[in-house]
Amino acid sequence: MSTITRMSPLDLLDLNLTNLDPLTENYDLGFYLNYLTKWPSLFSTVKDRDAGVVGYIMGKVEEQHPSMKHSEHYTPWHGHITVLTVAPAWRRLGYASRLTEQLEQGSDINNAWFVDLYVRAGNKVAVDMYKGMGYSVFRRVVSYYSDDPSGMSETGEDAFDMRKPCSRDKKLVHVREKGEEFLVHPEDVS
Amino acid sequence: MAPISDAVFLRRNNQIQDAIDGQNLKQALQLIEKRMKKGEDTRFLKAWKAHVLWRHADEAHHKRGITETLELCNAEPPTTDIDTLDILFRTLQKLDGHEATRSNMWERAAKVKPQDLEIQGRWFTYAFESNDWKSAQKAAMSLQKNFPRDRKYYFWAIFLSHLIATDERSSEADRKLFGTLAYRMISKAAADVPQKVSRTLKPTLMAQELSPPRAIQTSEELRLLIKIYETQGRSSEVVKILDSDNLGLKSRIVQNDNAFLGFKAANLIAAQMWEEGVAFVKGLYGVSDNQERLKALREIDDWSIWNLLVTATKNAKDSGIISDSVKFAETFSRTMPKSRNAALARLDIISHGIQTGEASADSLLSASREYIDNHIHKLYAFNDIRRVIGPNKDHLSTLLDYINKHHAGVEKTNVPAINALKLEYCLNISGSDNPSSELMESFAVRCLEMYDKAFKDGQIKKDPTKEASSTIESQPIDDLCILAAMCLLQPTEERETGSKVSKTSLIRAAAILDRLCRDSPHNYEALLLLVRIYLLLGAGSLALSTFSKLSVKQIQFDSVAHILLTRLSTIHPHSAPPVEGAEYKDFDPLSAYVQGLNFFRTSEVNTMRYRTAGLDEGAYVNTEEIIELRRRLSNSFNRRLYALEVRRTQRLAGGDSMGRCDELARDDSPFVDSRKFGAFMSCEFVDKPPFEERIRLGPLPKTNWLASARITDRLFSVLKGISLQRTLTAETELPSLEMLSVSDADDDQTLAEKESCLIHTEMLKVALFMAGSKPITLHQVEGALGEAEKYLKAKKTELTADEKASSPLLSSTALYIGSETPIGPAWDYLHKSYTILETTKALWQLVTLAGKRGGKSAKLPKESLERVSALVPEIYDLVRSNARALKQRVSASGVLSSLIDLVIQGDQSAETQKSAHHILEATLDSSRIELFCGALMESWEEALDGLLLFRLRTNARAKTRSVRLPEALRVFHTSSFIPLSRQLRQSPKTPTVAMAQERTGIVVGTNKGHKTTPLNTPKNKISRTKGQSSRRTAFVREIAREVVGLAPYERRVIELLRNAQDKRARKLAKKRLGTFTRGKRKVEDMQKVIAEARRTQAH
Repeated sequence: MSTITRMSPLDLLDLNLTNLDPLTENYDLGFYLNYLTKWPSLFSTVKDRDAGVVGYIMGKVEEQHPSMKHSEHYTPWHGHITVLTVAPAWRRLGYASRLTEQLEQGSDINNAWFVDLYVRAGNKVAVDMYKGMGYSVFRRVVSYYSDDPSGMSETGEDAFDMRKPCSRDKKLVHVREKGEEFLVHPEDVS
Repeated sequence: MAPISDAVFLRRNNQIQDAIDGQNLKQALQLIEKRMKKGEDTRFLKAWKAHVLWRHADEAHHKRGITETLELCNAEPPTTDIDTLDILFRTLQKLDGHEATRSNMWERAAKVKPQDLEIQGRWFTYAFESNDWKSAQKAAMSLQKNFPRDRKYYFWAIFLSHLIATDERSSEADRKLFGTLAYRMISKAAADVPQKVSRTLKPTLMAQELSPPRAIQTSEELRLLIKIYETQGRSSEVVKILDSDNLGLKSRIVQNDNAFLGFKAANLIAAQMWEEGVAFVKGLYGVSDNQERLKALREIDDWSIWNLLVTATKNAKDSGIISDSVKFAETFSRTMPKSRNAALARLDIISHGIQTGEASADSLLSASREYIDNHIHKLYAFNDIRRVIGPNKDHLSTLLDYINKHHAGVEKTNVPAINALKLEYCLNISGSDNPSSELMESFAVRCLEMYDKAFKDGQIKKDPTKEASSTIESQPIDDLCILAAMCLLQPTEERETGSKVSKTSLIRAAAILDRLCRDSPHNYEALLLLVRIYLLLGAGSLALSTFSKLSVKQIQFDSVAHILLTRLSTIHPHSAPPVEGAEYKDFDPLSAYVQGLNFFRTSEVNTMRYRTAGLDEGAYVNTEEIIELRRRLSNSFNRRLYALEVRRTQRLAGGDSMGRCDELARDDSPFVDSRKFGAFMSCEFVDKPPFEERIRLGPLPKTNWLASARITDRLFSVLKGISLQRTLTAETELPSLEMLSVSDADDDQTLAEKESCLIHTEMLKVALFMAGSKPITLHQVEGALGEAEKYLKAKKTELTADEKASSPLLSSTALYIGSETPIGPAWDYLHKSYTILETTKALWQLVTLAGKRGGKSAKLPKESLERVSALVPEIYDLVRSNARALKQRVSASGVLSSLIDLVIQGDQSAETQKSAHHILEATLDSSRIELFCGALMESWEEALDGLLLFRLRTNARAKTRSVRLPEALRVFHTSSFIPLSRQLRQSPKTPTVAMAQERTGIVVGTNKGHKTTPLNTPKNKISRTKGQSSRRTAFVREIAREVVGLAPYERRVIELLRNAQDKRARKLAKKRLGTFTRGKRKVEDMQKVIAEARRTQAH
């Protein structure tokens, strides 16, 4: 009883099941609309017949600003997962991987090198899930998140930059082993 | 502007603009006229002059401005200068009734200068932004005609035609005409797509090279086509297109996007092509043993397709199709047992077969059993079973037995057992007409027992080294506690209160949920339920603090916040004690309302911006929906509700006057209701309303509620107008009496609201009479005052205490436990009291104004006025004495222990087993119950204090809203109430001392504490990156430049550069910046600015 379709602007009024979850951020309306107008094909949702939207993925394809081209941390043309969320009662059903596959396919069509995402280093469930889908940690961004829900540190939480190569990256240039130990600073990746 | 150089022209213009910005219209006019006298008699200046005239406040100048503008618009030959057009447009923009002239002006300009992109582009943007689809469509047509190379204009024209065709405002003929136009144009674009292309090239490259410019190239455009066809009912044509080679499902435009499969399915249904539909599904979902194929199938397994099979089977006339489809779905789900869609399609078709007599009930049961075997360990199973088996109780109980026998308790997870309990709740408690309270009690106890056990098991199993992150995620077993709470809130035969929820069981339910929130603090289903329960109990401050844990923001103000904010102004209008680390909106209702209203205001800006951007990006279908989203948000019911409630809050608790909501509060155009309650859990029987409706605070506000709140609001604003001696203009200030009549179409108000609406209508008549309204006669006023008197007298009897010190109001609304005396308020007590207070406030203002006024307007009848004015303070005192009496009861000794007993033992009147007490006590943890009851009492006291703070006379917010310190502090939850005055809260956190003194080793005194050796940390390295501009600063500077523009000296540098005086420019820059190098750098920068400006102008 579930169907995967594109997110439409009117669905924004119907995000309660996912967005009341504490780890899902509620962005400014303009943020969603920006994605909906620029990358409409990379914003998909899972809908249940009765419950409405029970999960969605929000993504984009872009490259880092040209001014950073000479930096060793330069990020070339790639797909990026901005948000991936599934409502608590609808987890462990494989929706996340189906949504991610859609986005990977979309990035591949757009000739991206790889698909990447940022995840809290402490969110073990999510990191393991992405690893299961074929993503690997490329680098660790120190203090990327300004707050830390587990309250472990004062300075904020680290993020893992996880990547999965697309078909364009035949030589696997954009994957790195033991990326957990490769530290970078937030200003290098923004 | 040929004769003068650009720079000089700009500088002169700046002078005028400065004068206008400084509100010095006279000077601006003089400057313009001076220039005109000097011979610069251009249309630009004339238009500007007209604009300045139009800005004048007085009627004569204003009118002259309009006439001059209109003359210029229609002048021959048409104006083509973009600046002039801009000014003319700005003048006309705000005027009603000149839409035609407005678009005509641009059209004529575009005709004269067909190659001027700027004119037509601006025409389009302006028309599109002011929702004038017709004019925008004309602009797009002219753009696509004059600039055929740019393909997007063609699609803009199609899109705008489509908008006109679907707009409710356009006439019938227009709809038809533009509908056909859109259809023709998009069909042409579809037909132009080349049939055969080689598949060797990359799709994106190929698209640009091979097809004609106006053919469909992207999937967005194809979606627009489908949308247009769908709205015109041409579904069969969509199917044809999706089957074709050039645009079909296998074409390069679709790019294997599975969403188009869904489009095809939906259109097959709409076109009622049942045979083709069944064939399509069978072709798509035919199973085989091939592993690759199965994997691919798993990816396209989608309900939109299965739905086609279900609908087609239901509608097709062929015999045997039902069993055929059932078999198909069965084979599919045998091969892929995890496919929920296939299993549900099968169940759906069988239940349809039962209706037509082609399937037996047994087959449904066996299919359901199969479904249960495969899916009962998932949480969604409960809803599916309820939906399919639905009202058939026998079947339900058979299946329930089956689950209990084969799954619950047998499998590793708890989910099957949870689903079984939910079904049991649905069947035996919600489905039964009058379940006994023992049954409910024992059910709740079972839920809690299981929760307790599962929770402890989970704790043992949990690896202590693992992170605590799982506490953030809500667990399936949380549902058990919610189920127990919902069960307690059901009506029983003993509690013969009908639809009303028993107040004592509310407390017990709250205690259970409160316990759940300890282990699973982020379970939103529990939090939402708890917020409502606290509100029903009249514990506003607890409701606010619970709600703040959901951290609601942005669009949730439209979709979630109404759960808290509806009627909050008459339950807890004042600010609760501040919570440390929280935002104002988390404890102050007024700022919560204001934040909600702010969201709506900024959303207007955002939606406008992105619908223009969406067209540019070519996301047509999304753009259409953004337009709809904008309409829904700006007419949202919640927006009106917040606007009216914020004003009521401010009347009842004091605060800044919310003048900017004036228009919103007065708006009586149709609204869009997008309130949703899906986030509440509901396990009710199929024909029962969802559980959320049981725990509403009175009926859900709708049209009538808005109308009555508008009357009240109007009353207060008329009274304010009189006191400020503002003359009332006839149209805006006198509401027609039809508006006042409230239809009884839907019942959406509480009793108190209905009463106050009637009395406020009467009083509004009086107020309008005082303000000098002609149609109201003295006779009517006399009658109205009589009504007011009657109302007050009725309230007096309701509020007067009997010998036991309890008034009818208290005994009907307050909260009792067994004994005769009430122990706490409930929401309806507070609601009624605040409503009465609001009316008395209005009456008091009216009476005072009538007393003050000299012979200016018609006098009110003296005797009735005096009678009313004597009654008003009396009522006010009575409300207060009631509240005071109740507050005494709350803080009386013994209340805490009786509350605790209530939670553990239930209502004393009902007999309950002893074993139940035991498990409740064990699960709920008695010290926690104590904390909970303490917090509840404190919240009650706080609510009553708030009621006592109300004053008849309008007073400053500072006095009413000062924060009081609760007498006893109880630590409650993680967020304890810490009394801090606002000043303290706002002061920055104590700065960490950089150089700590060595500690003394003594436990008290300055520098107390254990002696420690400071770490020998190296000093920070010198920053080598100073002065390097990061992307962030570059961005900041860019924004600053965009907002404030150039500095005066920079403008001078530019002017010098334009006049080819480079050296002078460098000298000036050096003088200003200090060194020659810096100066050179600045000059370079400015050259870039000039180049940039040229480039953008050229476009």
